[in-house]
Amino acid sequence: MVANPDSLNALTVSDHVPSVQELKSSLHRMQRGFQPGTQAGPKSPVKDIVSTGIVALDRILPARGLLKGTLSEWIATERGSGAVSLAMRVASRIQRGGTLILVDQPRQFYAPAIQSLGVCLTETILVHPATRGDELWVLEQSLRCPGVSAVLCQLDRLTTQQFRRLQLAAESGTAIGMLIRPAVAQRQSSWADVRLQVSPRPSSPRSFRRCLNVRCVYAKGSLADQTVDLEFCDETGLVHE
Amino acid sequence: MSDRVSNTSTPALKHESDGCSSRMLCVWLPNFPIQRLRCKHFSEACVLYADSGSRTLIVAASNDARLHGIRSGMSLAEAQALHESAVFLPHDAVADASELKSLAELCYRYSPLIGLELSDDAHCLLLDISGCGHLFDGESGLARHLVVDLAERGYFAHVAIARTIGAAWAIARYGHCTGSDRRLKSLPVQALRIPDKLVSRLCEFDLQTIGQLDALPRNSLPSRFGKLINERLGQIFGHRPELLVFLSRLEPASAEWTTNEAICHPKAIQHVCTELLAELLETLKNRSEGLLRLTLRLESDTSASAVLKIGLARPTDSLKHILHVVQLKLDTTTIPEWIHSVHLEASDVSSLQVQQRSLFSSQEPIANGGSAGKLADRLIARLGNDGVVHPRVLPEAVPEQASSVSPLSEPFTEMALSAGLQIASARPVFLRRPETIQVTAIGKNGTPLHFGWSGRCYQIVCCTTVERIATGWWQESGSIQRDYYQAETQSGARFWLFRDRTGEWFLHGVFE
Repeated sequence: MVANPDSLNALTVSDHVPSVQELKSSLHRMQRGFQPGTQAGPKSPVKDIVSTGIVALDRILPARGLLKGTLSEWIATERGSGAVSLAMRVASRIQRGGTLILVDQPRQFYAPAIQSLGVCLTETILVHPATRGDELWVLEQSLRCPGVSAVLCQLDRLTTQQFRRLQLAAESGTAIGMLIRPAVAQRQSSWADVRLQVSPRPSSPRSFRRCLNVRCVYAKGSLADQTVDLEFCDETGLVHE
Repeated sequence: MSDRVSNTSTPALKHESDGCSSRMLCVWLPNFPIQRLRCKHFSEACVLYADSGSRTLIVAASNDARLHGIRSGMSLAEAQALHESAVFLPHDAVADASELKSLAELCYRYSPLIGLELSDDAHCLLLDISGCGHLFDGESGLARHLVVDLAERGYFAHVAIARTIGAAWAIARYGHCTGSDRRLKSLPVQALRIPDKLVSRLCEFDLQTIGQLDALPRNSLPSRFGKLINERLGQIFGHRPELLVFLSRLEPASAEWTTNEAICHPKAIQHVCTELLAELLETLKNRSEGLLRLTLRLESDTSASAVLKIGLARPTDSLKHILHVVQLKLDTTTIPEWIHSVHLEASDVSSLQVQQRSLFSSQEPIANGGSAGKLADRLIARLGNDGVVHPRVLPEAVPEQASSVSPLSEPFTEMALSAGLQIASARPVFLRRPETIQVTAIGKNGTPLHFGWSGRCYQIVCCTTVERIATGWWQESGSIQRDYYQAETQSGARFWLFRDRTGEWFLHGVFE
């Protein structure tokens, strides 16, 4: 009996795919030291995954959400890109059951806009540090605090040492640090688990809904460079693909 | 009855005078939960509700709401149907009690002996003013001063002076002018401070006034209406003694350290603070209280003394936490070089909040609110009260006035009172000071086509329809008229621009 060459090919490919997946998983385990949702060693505790509340965004994240006790970078490619709005929307989802800390040195956060993005103001603390040193100290203290669910801050400059300190602080707590960075930060090394690049997209002239392109530039221990286009709906407050 | 009477109104004073040495003053604050809210920047029709078993019932309603037929005891759904636009808030009995206690503090000026009465419909302060009247040109003068003091705090009160607690309470609550035994007898039976159930039972027998009840043989009353009737009758006419349960007013806990050889090293100061704080907390522990505010005074011979005021988000007895906060405060304050005396005082204390331990957990209970509260304490110690705040939304049309902040010490219930206007269009996350921009081209509808900002030129490809924001000349900000546009550039970036009545263009925000 002669085997059909097509069926043989199909068999070879289907056999080959799981082995690549296994290899990916092994690499993931080796690089991260743990795998979300599975058994981990004593030195690498399993971290909880929190959904961003946006299905399409979760899909491009390696853990299908953000991990507690980690940092995420949100890179705004230009002024008015919508990176802060998107991060704030995600923070409103993460905030549930905890306190959200907004570190705002230039004192520009606008409460009605924050509220309209779903943030619970009664569970939000707005911190106005006077100096750069105070700002980093507030970030470290907030990230370490077990009662804090998310910390959001716009940071222009950050040295490697400062970044590492923030990452260690985040690791010692359960908060998710969300750092809004300018486009120049993309050339710097990162201690964040995830680096997302947010670029604006022209909206449809009919709907005038705000469109964003989100690209996962870097994800610790995983393949990155996945992209998703999102659309903000101001009427319903939803973000979808 | 109005909820608040202006300071110019005649104080409601009811005075019963006779030669008896014991003099009692009763201050009745009508509709106190509503008055308390009105004092805190709130002026709309307001209704307070609370859960009662499986139902949610109305506890108090402002006059505006009462005009719509809303009454205490009514179900929440019924009240909402009667006046939909009223503000419905949960009743906060703890805040009521706390405010009444703070008013009692105010009254210590008039008497050292003060008691409280707290119930759903009667919030009263009882003062033993025996021998205090001459300090204020007589009892009438004392009562007038007291009414004016309360009016300054925004409260309307009925004040009555009598020889017994029962009589003072009855006249303040139900009396109209002067009081005597004859007048007391004309008051309704409710003035005897008896339960509603007993009142309705007396009414079944057509016993409407105290006089009617007093005319009956006393020994026949207990078998029909219980022992309380005779007790209350005796108390109101002074035939039976009644003890006033006074508010305890303990001296604030404090600890002091003095030396002949002044110290200057930070470690030495820290050590002294640790010792004093441990002593202070031990005193508070015996009173079952936690520290809320701490005043630390460092005195020096060579330079001016430093006074550090430290506030905590929640009452605590944790030495480690308070020391951490004190250390942060010391780090950010200029302290005198040579210190010869350190004084610590618990400026404000409160009952400790206890959290029950989990049944199956061996760990200490960790409350999220608690750890966030401790974080807030540390942040405030370093950045000050203005540096750590809650964001608030105000019902204002002008964008820069719609956002505000409130200190963390302000309770959330008060914050919940404020609500923003319903705005259909989006607002930028970052609001800037209005910045003049150069608009080089304007479209047919008056929308901008090109503008320059921050050294760059932006081409607008899409714009929302105009959103006009205007205010009247009588408002504090003056007359404002702005036409706002949400402008999108070629790349999709969005800016919030406006044109004022002079035709000048401004950038007010960036949709970051």
